[in-house]
Formats: sequence, structure tokens, C-alpha cells
Amino acid sequence: MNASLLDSLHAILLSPEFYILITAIAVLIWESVGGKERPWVSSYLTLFGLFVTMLMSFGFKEPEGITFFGTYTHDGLAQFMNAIILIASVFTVFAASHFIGRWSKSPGTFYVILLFAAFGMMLMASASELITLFVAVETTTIALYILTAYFKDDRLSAEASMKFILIGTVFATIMLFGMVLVYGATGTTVLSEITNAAADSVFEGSEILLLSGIIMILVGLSFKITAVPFHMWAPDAYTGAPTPVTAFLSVASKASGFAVIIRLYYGVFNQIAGLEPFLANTFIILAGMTMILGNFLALPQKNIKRLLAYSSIAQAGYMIIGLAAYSDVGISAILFYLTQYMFANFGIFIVVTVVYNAVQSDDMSAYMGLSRRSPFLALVLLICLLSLAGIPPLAGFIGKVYLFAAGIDKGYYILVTIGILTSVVSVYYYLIVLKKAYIEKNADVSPIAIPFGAKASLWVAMLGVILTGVFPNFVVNSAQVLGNFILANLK
Amino acid sequence: MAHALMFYLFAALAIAASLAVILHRNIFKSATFLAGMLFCLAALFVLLDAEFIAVVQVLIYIGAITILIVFAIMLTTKINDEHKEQFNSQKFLAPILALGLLGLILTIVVKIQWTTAEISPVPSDILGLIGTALLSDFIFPFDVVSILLLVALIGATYIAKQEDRKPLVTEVDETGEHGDGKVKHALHAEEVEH
Repeated sequence: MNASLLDSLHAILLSPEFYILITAIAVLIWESVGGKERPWVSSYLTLFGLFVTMLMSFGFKEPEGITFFGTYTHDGLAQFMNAIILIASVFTVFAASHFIGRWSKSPGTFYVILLFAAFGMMLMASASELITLFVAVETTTIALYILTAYFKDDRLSAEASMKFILIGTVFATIMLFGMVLVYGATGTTVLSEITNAAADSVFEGSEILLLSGIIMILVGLSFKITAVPFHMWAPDAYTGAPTPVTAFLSVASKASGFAVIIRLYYGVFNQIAGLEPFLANTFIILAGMTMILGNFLALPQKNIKRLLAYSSIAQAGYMIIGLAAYSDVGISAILFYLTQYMFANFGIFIVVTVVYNAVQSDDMSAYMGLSRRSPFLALVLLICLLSLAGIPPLAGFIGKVYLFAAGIDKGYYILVTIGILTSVVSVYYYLIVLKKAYIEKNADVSPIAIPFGAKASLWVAMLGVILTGVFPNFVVNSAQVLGNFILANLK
Repeated sequence: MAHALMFYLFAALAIAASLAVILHRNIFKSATFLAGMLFCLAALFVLLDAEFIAVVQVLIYIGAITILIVFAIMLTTKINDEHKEQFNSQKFLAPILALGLLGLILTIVVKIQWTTAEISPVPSDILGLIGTALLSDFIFPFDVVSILLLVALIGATYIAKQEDRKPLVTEVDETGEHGDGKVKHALHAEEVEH
């Protein structure tokens, strides 16, 4: 291939994905060469690759633009989501380094698949053409199926992956069917051309074809963000999956799902005449159901991972309010909420991995007397759980205020009331965990050792939650700038 | 006329074969009916002048996927049992959902004013056009598919690989009081509740 062709394709836009791929291949080769003797090299190599990618993506001003015949768009939305996905991957590596290595004989493959999953998610955030989008979604989901089944001899892990695969395949099919209908109605798969093609409708009755397609794609994507009633896979998959994978699923997978929904439903489908009120109402219903069901089903849970699964469903419900708002405030609020949600969730899940290593249980009773066994772990749990519950001055509070403000702005008073009431409900089940950790006593008072990697990432997560809560201006400002910019650019 | 007759013949056969797939008690015969159903679909594609898709249908669906299913049946013990219950507790909900989907598709089909204008004939070098599209407009997703296949390959190798690993469950059994047992019980109890 000659240089001028490469230049005309603007292949430089693809550099973040490219670095991730190179890292994945490098770890894969290391696995087959020296992975058996020195498995820890894989995790360091993965971290190195992720940091280089972050540096190259955000340290330098990256060019923005569309390339490969409209199939790939690198813009503000893609950059922000890439940041979330990369940071989430780094957290996952830290969570996995002391967990996967301990419970699995071949921990190296985990990092390879993790990197491929991150690659697929970054591609999802950048795909601006339906076929590319579908291939990216499938790359991500296949990698996630494998990660979920990573403890392949564990019955729960295998069962979780099986459910995930079966339900995931059904939803992928529905989404693909929707894409086919959209193509049938408009004659194009490139997102930027769909709006115009829909405007001069090709034949009579194409509206219903388009509408069915749009709804089916939304169903497929609701599966990714675990919106009720398409959440049924999440509790089982989240409980059975290895804990670092659960954390990765609940943050990065959701972030990439929101990226795709923002790109499709803010930038393309709501531009089609008369669709915006309909889509807004759909999102309102989704948000309401997700907040109510997620929070109430979390109440009776006895297993911490299952509780966090329902909590993460509920958190997705709050973010859908931002989708329903259809405004720059809505986008900014989602971006801010995703940022703080990532810190809080990873803080909790890394605590879960450390506790599991110590007592081999994810049951709530394992957290009894945690404040005596390890004050630091209990403190991280306290701060992150309170942030998820939305207690001021932590980041979760600012995030919720921001999302509710976006809803109030558009007059969704009932929806915001549901949001506030369910937040109160959520305080209850988060406090149950904290009660176990701080008040209840445990016969076993042996201190819990925290590996260095876990300790470092716990500090980062906790400080992330506190700092974005106490000094939200930096993240809010950049989210606001990005929100305005993204909305202007998508249209 | 003959064209329409052929269409209805193959359509009816396809429906009959797919009903046989879900209703037949022997799973191996179900797989065979599935191959028959896919063949009828391929015939329908030929009737629509989409020969390439028909060939791909036969090659991939009958030649690869059905054969894979048959292999899976052969390698799985006791799955071929005719006395096994083939429906679970969802057997009333599932047809309702399927009928709902059918209703949606029928609504779409009825509401659309299908164009009756003369359609330009399918170009003879359709293969060339598909190839050109794959290597120009769609080169990016086409390339990403290779990465998707690589991920699937690595994952399949990992999951199929036998290794003497540190077992999760045995270690728990040795330590005794804590353990996976509780987690499993909790999960199981909930499934019953649902």
C-alpha cells in the first residue's frame, strides 16, 4: 500500500485502537513464548500498552474526523468513551492481577481477551456505520462471553457465561434485524446519510419499517446497558463471572452501550421528522422501569455481587434520564455520571476481590467486622457505596443532581420524583452492607492483607470519588464543553 | 405462474420443516429437518434471483452450521433420548412472544405499499460487485471481522484446553466453613423464587 492512499484514509485516526491491538498481539505472543514461567509479565505488558494508548490518545491533541468511507468517526464522544474504557481496563488489570492469577492456572490469556474486549468497545464508540457497529458489538460481546467463563471449571462461571451467550445472541439477532429494516427503509448503512435518506422516503410505508428497525436496535442496545425489561441476564452473569470481569462488564460495557445510543439516538434517529418525542417517551419509560425494578430487586439480595448487579441496573436507569432529556445537559450529565460511577464501582469491586481472596466468599456475611479486619477496605467501601447512593458531598450526589436537572429542564417531574424516591430506597441496601462492615462483629478478626496493586487502585478510586465530588468543576466543565460539542457535532 | 407455484411450494415446505424442528422429539431428526428448512430457504433465494446468497446459504448453513450441530449431538451423551422433556416452564410464554413478533412483521408487510415498478435485473457480475464493495466501502468492517474471528479462536482454544488448574471448589472444601457452597445456595434459592 502506498503512502498517499494511507494518507487519504487518515489511518492516524485509528491509532488508539491500533495500539490496543498491538498490545493484545504482544501479550498473546508472550503467552506462547514465556507465559508459563513468568505469567506476571503479561499483566505488566498489558498495563504498559494501556498507558501508552492513553498517553498517545490524550497526551497529544488527536486529530478528529471521519475515515474509511464513513465507517469510522473519531470525535469528542469517541475520545471521552475511549478514556472511560481505557481507565476501566487499567482498573480491571489491577483487580485481576491478584485475583485471576490466584484462581486460574493460565492468567495470561485473560489479559489478551480483556484487551480485545477493550478494542471492541472503543470501536463501538467510534463506529458510524451499521455494519461496522454490529461487527464491533460482536467482537466485544464474544470477548466478554469468554471473560465471563474464565473460571471454566467453576460451575457458576460456566453457567453465567452460558446464560450470557444465549440471551446475548438473541439480542444481537434482534439488533441485526433492526439494522436490516433501517437499511431496507433508507437504502444506506452510513449513519450520516440515514437522516437525509429517511427525509425523502423512498416508498410509501417506509416510516413503519424505519420505526420498527429503530425500536429493534434500541432493544439490542438496552441489553448492553441492562435497561429493564432487558436486564434479566445481568444478575446471573454478574454473580457468576470472575469479579474483575463483573466490574469491567458493569462499567466499560455499559459505557460503550451508552456511547452507541448517544451516537445513534441523539445524532441520527431523533433527527428524523417527528421521532424525537416518541424516542423521549420510550427512554422515559425505560428509565422509570429500570430505576424502580433495579432498586427494589436489590433489597433482598444476600450475595454482594448480586446486590451490585441490581445496583448497577439501577444506576443505568438514572443515566437513561439523561438520554430522555435530549439536550446538551443530558449528554454532559451522562458523561459525568459515567466517570464517577466508574470510580465508585471499581472501588467496591476491588474490595470484593480482596475480601474473596481472604475468605473465599462473596456472601454478605463475609463483610461482617470488616472495619476491624481492614479499616482501609471498610473505608473505601463506605465512601464508594455512599457515593453510589448519592450522599453529598461525594461524586454520586453531583452526578444525580446533574441528571435530575437535565430531566427537570425538560419537565419530566414524575420521572425525577421516581429517581429521588428510588435513591432513598438504594440508601437502605447500601447501608446493609455498611452495617455488616462497621457494626456487626465477626469471630474472625485476622487482618486482611491487601496486595500493592489493589491498594494503589483503591486509593485512586476513592480519591476519584471524593475529588470529583468536592471539586466537580473540572469534570463538569469538561463534560459540559464535550456535551455542547458532541451535540453540535452529531447534528 | 410456475414461479409463484414454486414459491408457495418451498415456503410451505420451509414452514413445515421448521415446525418439525421444534416439535420433533428426536434432536438428531430435528437437526436434519433444520437442514431441510435451510435448503428450502436457499431455493427461495434462487427464485428471487439471488443465486449467490443461495449458494452461501447452502455452504454455510447446511454445510457448516448444521454439521456442527450434528457433531455436538454426537459428542453429547444422553441428549438423543426421546423421552426427555423438550419444553420447559416457558412453553406458554414463548409462543405468545413468537406470535407477537409475527404480528409485528405482518403489520410491516401489510402497511407498506410495495412498489410494483419494473425492477432492474440483477447485474450478472454480482460477485464482482460484492467483492468490490467489501474491499472498498466496507473494507474497515471486513478487516475487523478477522479480529472478531481471532478473538473467537483464542477463546475457544482457552475454554477447550485441558489444564491442571488450581481448582476453586476443592480448595473451599478443604478450608471448610466459608465458601462457594453458600454462594451457590443463595443463587439457587433465588432461581427457585423467580
